[in-house]
Amino acid sequence: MNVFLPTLNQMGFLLLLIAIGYLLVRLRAIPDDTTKALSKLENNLFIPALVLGTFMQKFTVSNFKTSGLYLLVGLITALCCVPIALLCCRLFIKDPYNQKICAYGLAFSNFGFMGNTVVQALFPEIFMEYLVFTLPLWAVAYCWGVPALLIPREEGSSLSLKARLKPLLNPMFVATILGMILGLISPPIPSFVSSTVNTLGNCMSPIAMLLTGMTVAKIDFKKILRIPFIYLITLIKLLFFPALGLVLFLLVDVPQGIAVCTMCVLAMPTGLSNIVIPSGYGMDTSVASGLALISHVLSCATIPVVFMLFQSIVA
Amino acid sequence: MTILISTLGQMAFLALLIATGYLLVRLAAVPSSTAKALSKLENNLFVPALMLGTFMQSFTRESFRTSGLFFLAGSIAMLLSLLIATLLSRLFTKDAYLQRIYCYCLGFPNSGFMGNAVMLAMFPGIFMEYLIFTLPQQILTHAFGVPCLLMPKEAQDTTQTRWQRFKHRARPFFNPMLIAMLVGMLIGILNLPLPGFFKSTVNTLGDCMSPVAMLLTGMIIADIDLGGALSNLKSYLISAIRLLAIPLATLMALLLIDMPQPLRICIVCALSMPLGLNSIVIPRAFDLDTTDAAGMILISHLFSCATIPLVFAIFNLI
Repeated sequence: MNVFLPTLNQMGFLLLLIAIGYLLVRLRAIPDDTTKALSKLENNLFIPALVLGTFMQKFTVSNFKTSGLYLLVGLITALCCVPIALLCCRLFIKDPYNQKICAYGLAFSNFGFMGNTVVQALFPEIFMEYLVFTLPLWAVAYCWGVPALLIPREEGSSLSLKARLKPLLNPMFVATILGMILGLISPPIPSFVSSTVNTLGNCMSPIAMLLTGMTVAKIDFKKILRIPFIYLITLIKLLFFPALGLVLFLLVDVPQGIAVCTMCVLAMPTGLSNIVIPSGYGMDTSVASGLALISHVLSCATIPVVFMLFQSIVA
Repeated sequence: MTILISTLGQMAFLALLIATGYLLVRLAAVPSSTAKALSKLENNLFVPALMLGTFMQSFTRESFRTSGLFFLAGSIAMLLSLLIATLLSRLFTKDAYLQRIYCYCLGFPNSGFMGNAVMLAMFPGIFMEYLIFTLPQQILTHAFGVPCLLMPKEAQDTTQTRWQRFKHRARPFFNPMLIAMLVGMLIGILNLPLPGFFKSTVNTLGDCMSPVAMLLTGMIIADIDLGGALSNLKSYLISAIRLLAIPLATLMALLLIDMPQPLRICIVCALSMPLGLNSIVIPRAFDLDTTDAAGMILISHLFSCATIPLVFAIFNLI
């Protein structure tokens, strides 16, 4: 029960922020292109600042040694989630396009926006480790997930290795490397610089949740709520994946931090990239939007339950 | 010396945020519509959340009694500031449009975005009092400053009846900021029990006000033609009046008048801020010339990083 109420409270806080983002769009209190502007700000400023601040502050020589393990388990998690996601989608969905959209949603959860927020609030002591853990997930998502599952085939398959690796040179990865270097060598940094980095990093969570609400607000509810397999995929994402994690950690003894990071990644709702990227190519986003909407709403109940079970069974 | 260093540190922090916003636009790392989107978010969400949170937490029956003094002092300061601005603007130019721009720039400092950020960082204990003190300025901005000084006369429909014109003028008062303030006052006075996640949400959104306001300032400045803006001598003069002459005259006046220390801090803070951003945002929306306003905003924001700590240091000394 210890972890259930704080997690439920945290999910209530996140849901309220999502609802505010939703209402701002529905009440036309913000311009139409706010989502695009905030998304760019989030990816180019707030997330890099959060990552930079965290690594600058916490990355030390002793952390450097343990972070290899987090990196490895993160990679294994990504490599396990992908085939399970592909298999589930082939079993339950006939249309190849929807198969890909749902496979991306299952394999790559919202471990960034939502995951960072949840871990920062509930497990702040291992937030840096969580960032290291999710690095391989970002890499697999950028190098394989997006080109293979979200970009139209004719454009995705023609991408060279260099073009596939290029997205890795983004502000978040640059901030990670820079933060690690600054953390390791600990140079004297003026306090106003660290205050600026921390203040910008603190904007990540609220803006990310508002952005989620704004993205959800553009969904045609009547259309997407009638697609039956969306519910099934959501249940697989929110219950089956975390259940697999729980069973695994009952059988295998791993450090607590790694187990928490894995459970966080597995318990999060589906990501928003499978709406944002296909819509950039003018493709249908109704299934992805439906997955995002239903999984985010239901996750407010399932995440606290998953963490309560994790605490009572595994921790 | 301590207050000079701490205010300098705070101004460096704000300047770095402004520079970040400036660079984001210059490096095309954000879409061109970002400033508009952030401005709406700031006015409709972050500032109201900050006000709601502050009043919910700090507004009590006791502070209700003292708030009248802050409101009255804010009104007097605003009217005096506007009177001086009107006189000075007539001295600087004969052009009617520029007179109105100068009048707005001198009369309405950036006591909202910049002032809130400085007060929150330097004097968080009296932030609520500062919000009450600047309330008359907010009201006058909506009722007079923006419609009469910054909007073209053609934008005010002369075919409207007196009642329609009154309704049009009164509409800005029903804005999220004032509503949030009233709701916050009610919750604060009645001490209503609220769920923890609601308070967290309001506080988290309010915490975004300062950084987003500074980023927005940088983004607005990034659209300015630097060469043209920095070559206008009048911009330096107006900025010097706004940043040094008015605050120093205020400090002299404060020596002569006996008043509570929080009220003195509010007056000094509100009157030492650089020029308000509306003087560029509103005329630009009506395709009016913003060269002079842009220059004054750029110069006053740049120099304010040095003058604000200086004013606070002198204030502390005397």
